[in-house]
Amino acid sequence: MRAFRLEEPTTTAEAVNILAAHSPFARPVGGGTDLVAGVMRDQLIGAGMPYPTHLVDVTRVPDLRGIRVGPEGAVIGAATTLVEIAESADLRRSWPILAESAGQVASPEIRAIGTLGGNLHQRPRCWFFRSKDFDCMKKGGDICFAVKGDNRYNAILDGHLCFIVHPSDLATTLVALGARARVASRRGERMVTFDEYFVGPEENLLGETVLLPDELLLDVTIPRPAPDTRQAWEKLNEKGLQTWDFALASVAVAMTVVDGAWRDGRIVLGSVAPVPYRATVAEVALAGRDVRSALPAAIAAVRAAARPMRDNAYKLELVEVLLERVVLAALERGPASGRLAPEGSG
Amino acid sequence: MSGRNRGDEPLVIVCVYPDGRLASDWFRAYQRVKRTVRRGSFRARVELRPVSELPEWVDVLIAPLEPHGLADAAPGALDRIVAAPDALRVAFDALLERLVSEGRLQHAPAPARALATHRGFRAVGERARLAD
Repeated sequence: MRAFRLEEPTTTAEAVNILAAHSPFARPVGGGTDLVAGVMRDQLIGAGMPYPTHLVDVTRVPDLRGIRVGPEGAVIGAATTLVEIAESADLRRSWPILAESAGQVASPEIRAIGTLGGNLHQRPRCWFFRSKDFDCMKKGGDICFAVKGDNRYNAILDGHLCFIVHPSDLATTLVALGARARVASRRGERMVTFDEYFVGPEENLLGETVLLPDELLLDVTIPRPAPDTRQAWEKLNEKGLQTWDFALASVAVAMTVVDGAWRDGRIVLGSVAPVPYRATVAEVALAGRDVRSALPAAIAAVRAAARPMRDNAYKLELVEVLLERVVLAALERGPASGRLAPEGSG
Repeated sequence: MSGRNRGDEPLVIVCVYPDGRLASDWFRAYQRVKRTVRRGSFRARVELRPVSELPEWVDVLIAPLEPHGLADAAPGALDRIVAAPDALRVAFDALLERLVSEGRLQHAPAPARALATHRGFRAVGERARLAD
């Protein structure tokens, strides 16, 4: 690993100033489980991916930590750890899929130091990107090696020049919950909905979010769901376990149903596209119809939209199975509590 | 850096993009420029670089319309094109024509015929080499 300077700001303003002063060679760091122990250790660099010279430790900024729940929803600081999210009684009550997805990230050790911001900004797992021997497009090279190489883990939806899949489980559930991000730079603050936060290769081959090199994610706001919102999430990974490994596919659903018919909601697919993929084709197929009877049409709509590569058609089968299982689980599970808990209850 | 004398060095053409942000249509525009230079056998090197990592020497800078600051990068560049990706082809063809007519851009001499010495890991014999 090459040398870098660790900055330890204690205020948001200080962190933003350091990022701006050393952009694009400064990076915010939380637990560092991907940036330090992955990207930097493996020296993943390229013309479009400079090696960080300054790491800005955001875990010492009090404003960026913690979970605040109010009548409008929840605000989670970017430096909040995954275990804090997974174990929050408030989140488990009203946004169970967020707590579940946080609780199934990697291993307990990683969840103890990994942060919300880090999970959302972790880099793709594509093995061509992760090998320093491949100067792929994501690093500023000329070629996506997955097109002709072994592409068993790559995208089946919305690939465009580059065929990575977004690795974050929390990103999938946050899109399903209609969350939005607050980001800051020297130019000020802005809010971005998670529908727009993640960008595919068409918009940016080198990154996965709208965040500019000098911008910092401050927190994530999740609106309180309608009282009758039903939620479910599940991921499948290669080892058949629910933890440790990255998902091969995941599905998150947040929906409202009246007399068994789909009224409103979101279906989001994870680990199958360069961004968390909102399956609007499935939502349209379900709209106003009995969910159980319209589910085959929703699955068929996703199948029609998919463009598997040579080695990853199996992912489409996973999505089909998961989609059915997760939507039915949401139906059976019933609505999550949209009410605030009594004072001091957790 | 204008007025430099680089002797027989090939012309350096750089397509620039903002740090950390490379849209696929700009990448495709760069690929078209590179292909045009290769097919024309011009003595030029085409590079795709973020604005913070421009080479020391740039003869031609090609920048997208947005963000504005990119057009002013590499102040020593003798020529610059600022264009949207879909308008770049026409502008670049016109620049090539001008550079050739001014004698600043030449065609590269045809490369010496390459002899195949191996097929895969297997060394080929004299007859096969000549046949290639």
